[in-house]
Amino acid sequence: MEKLDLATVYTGNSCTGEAIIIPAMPVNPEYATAYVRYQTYGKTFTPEEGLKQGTIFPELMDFWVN
Amino acid sequence: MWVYDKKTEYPINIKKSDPRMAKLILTQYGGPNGELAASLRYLSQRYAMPNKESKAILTDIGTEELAHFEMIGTMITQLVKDVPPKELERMGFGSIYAIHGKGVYPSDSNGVPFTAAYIESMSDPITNLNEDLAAEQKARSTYEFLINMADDPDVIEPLRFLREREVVHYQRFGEALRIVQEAMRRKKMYYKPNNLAGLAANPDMKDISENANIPNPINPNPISPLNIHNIPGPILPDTKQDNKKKQ
Amino acid sequence: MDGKNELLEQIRATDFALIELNLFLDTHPSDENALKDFRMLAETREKLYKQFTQKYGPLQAADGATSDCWLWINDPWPWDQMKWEELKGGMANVGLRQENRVSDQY
Repeated sequence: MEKLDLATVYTGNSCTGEAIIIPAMPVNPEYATAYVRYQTYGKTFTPEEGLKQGTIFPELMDFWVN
Repeated sequence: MWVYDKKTEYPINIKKSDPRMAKLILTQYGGPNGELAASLRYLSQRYAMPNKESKAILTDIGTEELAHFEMIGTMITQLVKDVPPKELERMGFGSIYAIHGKGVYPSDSNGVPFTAAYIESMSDPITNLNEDLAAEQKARSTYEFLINMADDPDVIEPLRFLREREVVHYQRFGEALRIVQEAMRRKKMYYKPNNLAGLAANPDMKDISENANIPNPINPNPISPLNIHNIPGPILPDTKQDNKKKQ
Repeated sequence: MDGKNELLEQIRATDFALIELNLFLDTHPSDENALKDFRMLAETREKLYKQFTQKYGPLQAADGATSDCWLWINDPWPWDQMKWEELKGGMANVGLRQENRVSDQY
């Protein structure tokens, strides 16, 4: 079975209560609803490099040339 | 409450005066897509949010926007430091100097004072978060416009940093929206329509109540204590409608 | 003003990484890897803050009373283009000089 791209949030405090599982993108998207792909934790930049880039996450780097 | 750290989030040390740029950057201080607007918007919206992830993200991003507000103010004051008034006027900063001297005042680049009309704060979490997504895009675009007009690396570097932060904030608000929508979706699976009388008249329309208990493939027995909306029963018109829960 | 304060820049970078992880964890509260990295960075930050405060003075008001004088009000504030000077024996900075800037007469 392939690894699912999921994140979990909980209805209670301290990661207790009911688990709400959120896939990276929804399996059955609804109408009139906007979806942003949920990030999964991967590699990060060092703090110094991250400060220079504006983010420690390479996948959130937005290449823009003026 | 807030704790203040005696440093800017990104280092700012502008060595060359530029009153023209100071005037342009002002829009991100007290303008419609600026950091003050963003900060007040997020910090005001957080009170009405129903779930803890949204409260946290609005608080934390609102706080970071205050840090950005400080960055812009710092840039403006450094850009006009030691510039003689005649030079200020020549570079387009004259009318601002006439009103405020070299003081940093929350207005846009045209001198229009800041107003809360730039923001919205409702009790509907989906509305709030969509507004926040739009706000981050507006801020990103504005930074792009400002960078297009700048030439000093000491100015461009902080602006690029701020632009990238908007992209990251968009991602976080998008995730917060996913959480709210997911909780709502699960709650929707439990309501049954109030009025089934209209259905008998139209044989093409399936009774959606028979599909109201579709098991969630990931969690077959979900219980949702979240009460984001009181979802009323549907108003069924007597026209044919596309039923997305049709099997 | 070219003399960058290395320690301050380290703290700035560490604090930034912590902010990034803070925002990530707000929407991923059970992510173990992110939690681990956050704890590690928080430890580093504690050490760096202590070092900085001892050498140069407080970065937060809570650390303002480390000597006989209320050091929290000391220059530089973030928008001033001055160097952080080393505290001499825990007393307030004396003879602070602005570098490379003529004082504003206007």
